[in-house]
Amino acid sequence: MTEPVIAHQKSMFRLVLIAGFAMSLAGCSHLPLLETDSPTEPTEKEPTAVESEPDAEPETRVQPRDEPGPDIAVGASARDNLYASLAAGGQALAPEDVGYFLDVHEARLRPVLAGSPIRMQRTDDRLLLTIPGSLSFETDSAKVVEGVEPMLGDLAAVLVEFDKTLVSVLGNTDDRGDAAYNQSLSERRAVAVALILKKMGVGRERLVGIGFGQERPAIEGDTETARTANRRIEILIEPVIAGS
Amino acid sequence: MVRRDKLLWRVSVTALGGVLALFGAVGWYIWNESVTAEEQRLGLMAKKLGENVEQSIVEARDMLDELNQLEAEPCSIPHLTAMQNASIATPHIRAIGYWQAAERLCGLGMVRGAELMPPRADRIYESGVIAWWPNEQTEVGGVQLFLMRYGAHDVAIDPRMLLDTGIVEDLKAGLWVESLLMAAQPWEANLPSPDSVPPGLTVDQANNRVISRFSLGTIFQIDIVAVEPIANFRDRYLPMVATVAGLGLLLIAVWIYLVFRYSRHQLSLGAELRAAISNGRLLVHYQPIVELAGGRCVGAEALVRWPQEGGKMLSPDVFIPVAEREGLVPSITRLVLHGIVTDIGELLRDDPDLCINLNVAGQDLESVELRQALEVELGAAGVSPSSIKLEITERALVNSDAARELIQDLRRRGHRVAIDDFGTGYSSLSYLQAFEIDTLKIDKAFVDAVETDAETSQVINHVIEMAHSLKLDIVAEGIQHAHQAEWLREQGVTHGQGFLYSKPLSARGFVRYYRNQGNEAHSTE
Repeated sequence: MTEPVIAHQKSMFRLVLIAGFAMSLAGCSHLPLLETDSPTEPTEKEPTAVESEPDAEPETRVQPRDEPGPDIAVGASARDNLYASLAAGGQALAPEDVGYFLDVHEARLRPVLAGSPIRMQRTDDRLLLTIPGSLSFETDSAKVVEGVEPMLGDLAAVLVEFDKTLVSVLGNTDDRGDAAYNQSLSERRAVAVALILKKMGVGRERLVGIGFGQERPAIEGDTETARTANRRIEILIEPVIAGS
Repeated sequence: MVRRDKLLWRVSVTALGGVLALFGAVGWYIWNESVTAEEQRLGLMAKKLGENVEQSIVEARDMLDELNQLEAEPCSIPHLTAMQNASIATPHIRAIGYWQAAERLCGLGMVRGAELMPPRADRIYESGVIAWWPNEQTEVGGVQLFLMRYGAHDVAIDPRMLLDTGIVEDLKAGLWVESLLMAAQPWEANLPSPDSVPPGLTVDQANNRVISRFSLGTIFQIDIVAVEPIANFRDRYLPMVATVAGLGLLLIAVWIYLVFRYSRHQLSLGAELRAAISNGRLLVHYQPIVELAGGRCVGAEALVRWPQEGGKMLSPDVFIPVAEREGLVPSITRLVLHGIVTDIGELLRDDPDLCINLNVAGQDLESVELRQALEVELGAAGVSPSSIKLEITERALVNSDAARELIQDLRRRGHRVAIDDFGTGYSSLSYLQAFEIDTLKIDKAFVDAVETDAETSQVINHVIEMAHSLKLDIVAEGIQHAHQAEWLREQGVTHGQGFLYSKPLSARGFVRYYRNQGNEAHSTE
């Protein structure tokens, strides 16, 4: 208990962006997620099963290895639907309990994440975890690097206990290569991580994978540092609030 | 007496300064001692308090940890028993709970519900411990609780119990953990926050209170601020203040006594005389001794004079007794001797017949100083020992073998010796034979009685006769009238001194007097 504490940090610019994004999702709006319309507008997509994607790349191996059936919802509108059904399902949090819930959730995650490369950012109404891409995927591949799964084990256990949330796995790439391809790659990566969480017990009704391609750089710029930072998986944890 | 005034003034200022300095020192000491003592007292209290709180928090954390590790079915009897044992063992615990996410599944205690779920935590630690400091959200029945959750368990603590009233006593005190107010007594006490108060003790004169702040930093940063009315502080240290003030007054009294003694000593005639001697302020005057027949000056008696501020001379009758008491006579004698060789050394070298009488007292005869002084001074000035005649009072001679030997010795060296104030001493006349003497000086009292009906007028005849029979020269002192001189001359007295011939003269006056009468003598011859 000796370590100093970051309680409620101010949102950084990036977080504001995410918040804006998430808010639009929560409102079931069909507004564009970002200021710059991406050619791969997720709202246009229907929830699709990953395996339905006709990708010939080795990423297909990301698909559930041993679990059959439709699994992870994909895309922003799928997320909206999931949220709506969770909020209506009687498993939602009372609005007055959200602060306590998120505080305790954060407290639980801190020791879990302490030794891992996963970073946690906290805003008033959500938690955002960032997994550096370089650590989790091989270049140009949706294959999860060995060692990522154990890293997610403890995290998944906390997600299982704190079950009144919607967990969105967000994939992001750098700006090299074709934007459409990047979008696809990021989505496959997001789904791959979501599948791992599902396998570890997080209910599929709470999980959604969304690919943003190169549209949400963490750092603007043309440098290798920026690219490395931009290739990343984020796990957005949003409490499901009754009546919202 | 300007010198005395100055001295008195200086002594007064010194005394006043000393008293003020002492008062200042005593005041400073009292104040410092009180503040230090109070600081120590409060510091000790704060340390105890801080350690208590720290221990309570650490114990609470450990308790939660143990409950988390418990291998019992959640909410089973063993689990509930473990929680119960923990809460009963600790008086400040108000509730213990077992949670899943934000749902309290089971627990113990009087508190449940929203008060255990405040919307905003104050601290979330890397260890996973999360804490809510006492605030409105955690208030139950007027008591704001301190909440801590670690893993699946939480605990509610009544912070009032952390401030042990036995320790805090009559103070208003507050305790901050990590800069957040944890507990205060009384809770509504309006205490200044720790960062607005300097460490240690501060006397807030404006608000009539003493504020103290102490900080501990072993596990958490803990600050304790205590406030007490200045009157309490005063009351607590009044006995000490009184004691020290008494001691201070005693010191002051001693000081004043010392200053008084010192000034009395400094103001005494003895001290002044001492100063006059060491500053060479004593002067030598010369009263001529003349032949009664013809009035020719053959010598003079050297007389010491002490000029005072304002031009007056202090009589030797006043200060010689003081000098005798203070043991200053040898110094004066030496000074006079030095004056003689300096003032009229030239005259003495020119005229070997001229003889100056130096008064020598008993104290001079008891030491070797006189002999050395004569040797050194006369040697240095080239004046013959025969030019100095030593006048010794009868009283100084009282049967002293040492004195007799000294006189013999002095005479062998060439000095002549006269008995001063002859006839006024108490001793028998036998010494006249025992000592080697050249001259008798008849006291003024006998001269005054010449040709009167007084008893003493008869005595002088015998004195003169005796001197004649012992073949001694006679000098009559204090001759004021011509008929006295005439009578004395008829009786065979050869020499005299007195106002009839000359009052005592300054050195320059005497030299002029001597040279002039020399001329007259030449002219009359």
